[in-house]
Amino acid sequence: MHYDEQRLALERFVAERGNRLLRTAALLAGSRADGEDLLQSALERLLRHWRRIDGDPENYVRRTLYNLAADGWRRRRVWQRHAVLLEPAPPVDPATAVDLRDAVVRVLVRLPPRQRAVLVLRYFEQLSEAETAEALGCSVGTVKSATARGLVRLREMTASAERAEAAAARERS
Amino acid sequence: MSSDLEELARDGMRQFTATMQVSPDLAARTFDRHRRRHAVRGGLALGAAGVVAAAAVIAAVAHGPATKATPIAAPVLEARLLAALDTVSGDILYAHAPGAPLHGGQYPAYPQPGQEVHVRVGPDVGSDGKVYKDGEYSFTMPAANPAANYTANLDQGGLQLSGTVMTVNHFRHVWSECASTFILGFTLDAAGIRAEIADGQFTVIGPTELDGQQAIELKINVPPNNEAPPHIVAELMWVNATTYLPMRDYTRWSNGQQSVGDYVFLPPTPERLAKLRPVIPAGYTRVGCAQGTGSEPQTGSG
Repeated sequence: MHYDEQRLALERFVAERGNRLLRTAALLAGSRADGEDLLQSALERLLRHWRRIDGDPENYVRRTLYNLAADGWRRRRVWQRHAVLLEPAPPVDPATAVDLRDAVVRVLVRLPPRQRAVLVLRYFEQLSEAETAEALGCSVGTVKSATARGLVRLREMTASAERAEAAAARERS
Repeated sequence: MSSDLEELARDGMRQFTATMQVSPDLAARTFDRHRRRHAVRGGLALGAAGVVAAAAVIAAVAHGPATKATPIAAPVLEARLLAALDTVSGDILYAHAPGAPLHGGQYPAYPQPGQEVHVRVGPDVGSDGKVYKDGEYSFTMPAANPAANYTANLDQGGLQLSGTVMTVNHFRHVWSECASTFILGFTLDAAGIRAEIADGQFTVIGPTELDGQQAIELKINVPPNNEAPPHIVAELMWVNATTYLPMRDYTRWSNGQQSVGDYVFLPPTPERLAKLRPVIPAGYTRVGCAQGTGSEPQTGSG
């Protein structure tokens, strides 16, 4: 494919599928900004391999997103190594307190990449355990155990967030 | 058993992403980056000599002159380093830029489950030389084994914690102290270093000299990563050849950014412990927790 054709094809692809892919990428990466970076990496791979891809390129991009995310994609180490705070949770204010669904997402993005990827594929993408295993290149047993571990951690971390919110509410009353 | 939580997760993810849209220039940026990399790959062979020369300069700056001290085997060094970290587990740990005054600090350096931990973050100085922010995180170390929360290369490390966050905003002359949840990452350096070293993620380069002291240089084995920059491409650490405590680390990112940081472990005297607490100047107003952190002034260097 010539450069101009490739650019047009990419623009069309992003216009048609970009938002949907971004939403998945944002969940996998932990934020909208990181999600767009992740999506950009997957799209670059698409450009490199487009000629050799059979079928819908979206499948290729999705698979790339899943695998990049599950492999850690980017070392999420503190860039300012000596800055203490890695990811501050927003201050809790009962007047503007977010509901439990927000808390779930806040803690979801802090799970290890593979656990998070499994949960995103299972509950956002609504894939079956077998489909998730196939997408991530692992066994169904691995998906089952990662799902269970992810949900346990989600439950623990959500409970912790609830306790903190309750403490903040008590402080104000 | 988890159907409620599963539904919450599903709804939360949908709600979180509902209004997200790609940047209008995403396709153009991606294509341009692809073309640039394509061009760069073609030129890599010709540029290799220059890259080697640049690396040599960086290495000379970062390493200091090598000496002829006796080499040490990795397993021996690992054992001594871990033992040394244990001996200073109750000290205050300062991590700072070389030559910069000690500020901030974490106590204790390697917290055990159930211990109270205080981490001072700041004072942060803006580009105008003025302090604009200061703060402290206090929490009880969770009962679970904290080392289990660190992965070998620290990139997924971080402890989900509940505690108190104190913030002083010198720009707005306000302060706050709030219960909150937060994640602490590499602040628990001693624990992080332990995890990294105990997992054998390093190679001993050899003896050297650093700031007039005998040191041992280690190369942290960074896994290959060719994806979206910036990511860490090289990391070195120096430990004291006598005490085996970490002295300095050096990190280089794929975008060329480099950072160097020194570690200092000091016994927790009352005076030093008092300095872990940010000072609230007279006349500052206490504000609610939703307002306390405030935003940085435009002059802040971060």
